Amino acid sequence: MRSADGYTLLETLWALLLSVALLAAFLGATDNIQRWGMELNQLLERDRNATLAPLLLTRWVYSAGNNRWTGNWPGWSLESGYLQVRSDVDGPGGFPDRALNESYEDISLRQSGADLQLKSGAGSFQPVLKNISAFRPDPSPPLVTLRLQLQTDQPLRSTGAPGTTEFELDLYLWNYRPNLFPEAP
Amino acid sequence: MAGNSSGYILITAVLLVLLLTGLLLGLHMEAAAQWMLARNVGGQLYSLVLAENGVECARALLPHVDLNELLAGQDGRFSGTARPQWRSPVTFEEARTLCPETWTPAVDDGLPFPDGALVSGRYLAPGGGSFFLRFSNNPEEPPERDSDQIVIVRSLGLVPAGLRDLSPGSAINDVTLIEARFRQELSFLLPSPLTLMGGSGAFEWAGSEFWIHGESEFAVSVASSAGPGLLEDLINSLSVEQRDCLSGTGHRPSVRDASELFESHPAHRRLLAPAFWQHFLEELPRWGRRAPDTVWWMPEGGIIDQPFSGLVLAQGNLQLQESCLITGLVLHLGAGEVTLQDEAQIRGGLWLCDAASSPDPSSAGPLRLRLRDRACIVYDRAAIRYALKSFPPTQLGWRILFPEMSG
Repeated sequence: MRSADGYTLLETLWALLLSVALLAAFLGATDNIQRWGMELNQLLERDRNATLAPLLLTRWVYSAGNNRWTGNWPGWSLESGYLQVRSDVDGPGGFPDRALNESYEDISLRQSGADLQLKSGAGSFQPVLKNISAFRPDPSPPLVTLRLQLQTDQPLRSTGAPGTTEFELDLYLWNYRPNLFPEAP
Repeated sequence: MAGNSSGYILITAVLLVLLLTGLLLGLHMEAAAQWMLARNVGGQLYSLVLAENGVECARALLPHVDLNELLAGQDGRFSGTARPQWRSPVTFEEARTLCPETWTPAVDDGLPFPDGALVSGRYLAPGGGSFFLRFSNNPEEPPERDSDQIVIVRSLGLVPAGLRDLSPGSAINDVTLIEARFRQELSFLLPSPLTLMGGSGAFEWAGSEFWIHGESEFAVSVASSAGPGLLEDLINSLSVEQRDCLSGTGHRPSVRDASELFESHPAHRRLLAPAFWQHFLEELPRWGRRAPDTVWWMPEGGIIDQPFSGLVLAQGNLQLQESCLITGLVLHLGAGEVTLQDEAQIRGGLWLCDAASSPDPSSAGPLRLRLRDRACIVYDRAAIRYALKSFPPTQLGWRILFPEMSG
């Protein structure tokens, strides 16, 4: 029985070499997996915003034009670089009060940098959705189309370019539904 | 080498498996989170769609209901405004946890009951969703009594409980509440069987056996912003014998200047405004092409030679053939004349104005009407009301309500 008193230098060196090779192969394999995982995270984060966008946009713009026949303001207008949406939906008594001074009654939406930004009333633009690289409203009430282009935070390592996706949200603005009789009393 | 089987590939393999398991677990969690987010957003969007459908259902119902009966409910008694969120079919808090199958309304105020059958206010939709409706009076009037034909309807769309997260008791319904304000259109609820609006008229009466009968109302009401010219043209066109053919309340002929009535009645007053006719005539062709079967839209005029029940809207020369019977309302908007041949009948009302040729119909003219022998127009308010159900309610507002809003 040979005594287990260690390895020779040559055996050790061979073992180290083999370990390095195995580790390199192992890390090479896991590196790909990690890269895929990271890219998947980026894409999922982008898609998370894409999932939320219709709900948020609907909440902000769907009541556009409410009560506009009592005032002299358009409910939906494209200004230079941003979309302005006005809607008299609330007041002290819980009903429209012919003034656009409640939250989100007079909002502007624009795309800036990598964000969709929103301004309410006289406030300043604040980011509300990230990963938005383009925002194109097509204003023709009652049926309007909001086109968004979303992209990942960083370029994807596999392609070298940001992962982009586009979607369109078609909204029927009910306050622009034609009436046979005029709204004015 | 015998007996030395030590090695470390097992450890390597175990580490690899652990790493892969970790990565896959992370991926699974991401996917699950994404799925739940999409499911919740989908549920919320579907509840919005259901609420929209509720508003459209209310729009279709509204012309067919008596508003004061609707506000009081089937029991005929308005239950007051003490309940929280009393205008809504269900409160937000209750809606998030209610079971649609077992829900019953607390009161019947604002719930329609067509033909006496109370509609619970809950309407089923595909995918297990529902929408709930309740009508109430507009805040400018007392809650129990309507006089301006304006009502509010609240439609709550509900999608049954879905998981919010993995914690117990996190399931809540997705809920959206939409409020719309509508006005029933009764501007053309004519006060007489024959109602004229304009500045002048050319009338031709054949014989003395035609008949315009107002029952307990005047046979002819005239509204004008151009003075008594139209009324004078009408009276001067009648021979002494023919004056008896216009019967109803008051002297013979039973005619009156209804200009003050139109000025004082909110629903009629707008008919004197040029802006009303500009809008109405602009929208009429598009609506007329898609109008229901109870509407006969004749933009170029024409001949009616068969019985019809409902609403006739016409421009140009309109002729009712012999023995033709119209039950309902005939609105002639100008650019021609109206002729009732022998024994043609209108049971309900006939309106003449010249909106098609003039921006201000209340002073335009001449209105042209010919009645042959034994033609008759008999006042029937119920028939006019029936015809007016064909007009859609006017939408005055539409908004999404959120829990943080009061009212």
